Amino acid sequence: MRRNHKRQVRAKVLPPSVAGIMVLSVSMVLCYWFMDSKCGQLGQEIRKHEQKFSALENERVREEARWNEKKTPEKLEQALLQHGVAMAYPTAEQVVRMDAATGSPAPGQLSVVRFQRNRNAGERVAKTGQK
Amino acid sequence: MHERGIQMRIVAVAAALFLALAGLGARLAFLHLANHSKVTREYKCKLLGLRGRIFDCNGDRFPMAVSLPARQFFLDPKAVKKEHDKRQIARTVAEGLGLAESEVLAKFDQEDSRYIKLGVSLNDKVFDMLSDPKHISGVGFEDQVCRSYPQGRRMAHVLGFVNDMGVGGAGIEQQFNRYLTGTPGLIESEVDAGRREIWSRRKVYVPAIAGSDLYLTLDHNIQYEVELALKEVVEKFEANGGWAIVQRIKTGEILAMASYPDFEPEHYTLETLDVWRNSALAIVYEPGSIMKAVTVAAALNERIVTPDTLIDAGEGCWTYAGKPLRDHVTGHISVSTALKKSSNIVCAKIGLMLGSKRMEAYLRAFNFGEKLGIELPGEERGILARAKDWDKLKPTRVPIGQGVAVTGLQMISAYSTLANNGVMMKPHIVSRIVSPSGETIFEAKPEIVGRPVRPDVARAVRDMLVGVTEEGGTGKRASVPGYSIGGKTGTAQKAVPGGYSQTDYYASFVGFVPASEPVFSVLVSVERPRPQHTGGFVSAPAFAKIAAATARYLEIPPDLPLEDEEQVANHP
Repeated sequence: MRRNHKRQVRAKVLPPSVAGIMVLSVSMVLCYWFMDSKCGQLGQEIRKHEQKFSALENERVREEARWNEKKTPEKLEQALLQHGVAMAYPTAEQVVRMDAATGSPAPGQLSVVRFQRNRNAGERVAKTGQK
Repeated sequence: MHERGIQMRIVAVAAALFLALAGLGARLAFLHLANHSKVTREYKCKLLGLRGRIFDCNGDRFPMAVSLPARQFFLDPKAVKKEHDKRQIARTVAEGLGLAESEVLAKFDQEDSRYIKLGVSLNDKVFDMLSDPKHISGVGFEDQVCRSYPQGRRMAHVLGFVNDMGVGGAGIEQQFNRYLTGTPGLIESEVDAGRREIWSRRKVYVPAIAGSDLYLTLDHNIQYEVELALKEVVEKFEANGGWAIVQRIKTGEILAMASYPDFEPEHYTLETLDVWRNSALAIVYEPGSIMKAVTVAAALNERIVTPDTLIDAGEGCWTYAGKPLRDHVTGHISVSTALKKSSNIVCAKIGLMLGSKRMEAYLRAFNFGEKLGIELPGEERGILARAKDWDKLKPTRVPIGQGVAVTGLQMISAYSTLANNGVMMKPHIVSRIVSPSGETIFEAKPEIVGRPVRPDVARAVRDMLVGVTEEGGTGKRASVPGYSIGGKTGTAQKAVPGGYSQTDYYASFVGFVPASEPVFSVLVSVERPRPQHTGGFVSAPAFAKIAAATARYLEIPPDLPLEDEEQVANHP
């Protein structure tokens, strides 16, 4: 195989150290540029999240206030009445008080209830008899 | 020639390019070097520091006052673009802010101003609607904190209100303004061409700090019952107004404090100064017969009388220092009966036995004539003249609650003292203050103010006061089934210039529940009730309602046998 020696050109090449520095500089610039744009992008995302967080937090506070407005004693009473639920506290004779120490009804409490029950039963019998 | 023309063109293009580049360079230098860029790109944003919340004694579940982030919308008529229709803008604004379209439209004519307030909105949708650049222009907004009271009028006089500047103007809001006020935050940064903040250029970020949260001793459930009963009694008797207080006896905590008429703290400007006033501690009035318990306690403490000492009430009229004093009780009656039947003459005579100096000393020991120091603005000290300045008649009138003026708070404190074995507790309304980081800054502890009478004396008076609500007593209407009630009625003529009104009265009832081991005390005072005007008729039933509801709510077991229990016991 014949070689064309005339065409061989001995070109001057950059010294490897200079080339290295240049490559390094370029890659550093590219790296900086990439990181800068990435940071900028992340910054925008953070800002958006901050705004979203703030908006959601404000919404939570407002919702909480709305809920609090709905559970006031008069609103609850109104709501119960709207649904035909007439609630009243039990009268004193409807309450059986328990003794915390023994876990059983306090002295005299059951006898009152029994008395009340018998009396009510008696009243019912009397009413039926009247009919 | 042709080549020369081409050369000329190349030179011209090169010159144009050079000029353009030179112009851009100059602009670049101007923007970067003339410090101009910093001014236009500067971004400053103030972050709103929300005001602290106020809760009742049940904790975080029931906020009584909260701050909500809102937007204040304003109109700049000069900034309305020509392509936008004013009517359309007005319609959108009116719809979003709940205003009348004509009202908004009228504001467009005020071209001399560039800041015309339109309204406040909490809704983000309204913001989106009013910041649509395609259809809306000339409408701006600024962030604002809006104070909201979820329970409306509840505790209005205690909570107070916050004015337009965000400063507490009355009640707790005023008194604890420095704790409640939040600290605003700040962002300093730069913006891009679209006026968006460049996060990476942020220089300063100081987060906003919310104000401290306040926890009250008041219970919104008890307060509800108190306000309901008070409103009912004031409206039923066509009175000018009224006030009521519920106090926990052992600690001095105020469980409820109400005045009527009331107001909505969010719309406080709709009412007058008189309505804002917390009458329970700001109105000074002659207490009338409710003062007799203090007189009797003083006399017992000085061992001048005993509950059984008989004193002559005469024939229903006793003249002293040239002035007659009338009474509905006649003959010799015991001190105990005098209190039960509210005898003027017997109590006046006890006052004479005590003497001016001792009477004054005891009144001062019960803190009359001095502020009790509750954490609310506007507390009055009452009127109690020095004994040396009393005329001859006064020692017979002060013991029956005339010639001395008190506040409702002073009166209930005196009765709580008698119910608490003579130990006077400082009334307080704030239980704790918690910083936004959760640290407790302040925690109230029960504080003893004094011991005006001995425990045995207090117990004796307490027992005597039970008679008032029993058969034959003036306060029978204050009785609550299942509970022993100690208390006293009071009917005082309203002081008017030159004497006393013959038509206007203060009707009061003050007492404690249950009398055997008191847990709480209640005061109800009604100003100028009509046609009935006595404490026993007007205020005692309201007291009974409040006492029954509070005893039930606090789960206080009845201390009296119920009707059925008695029957069971008597059953063979």
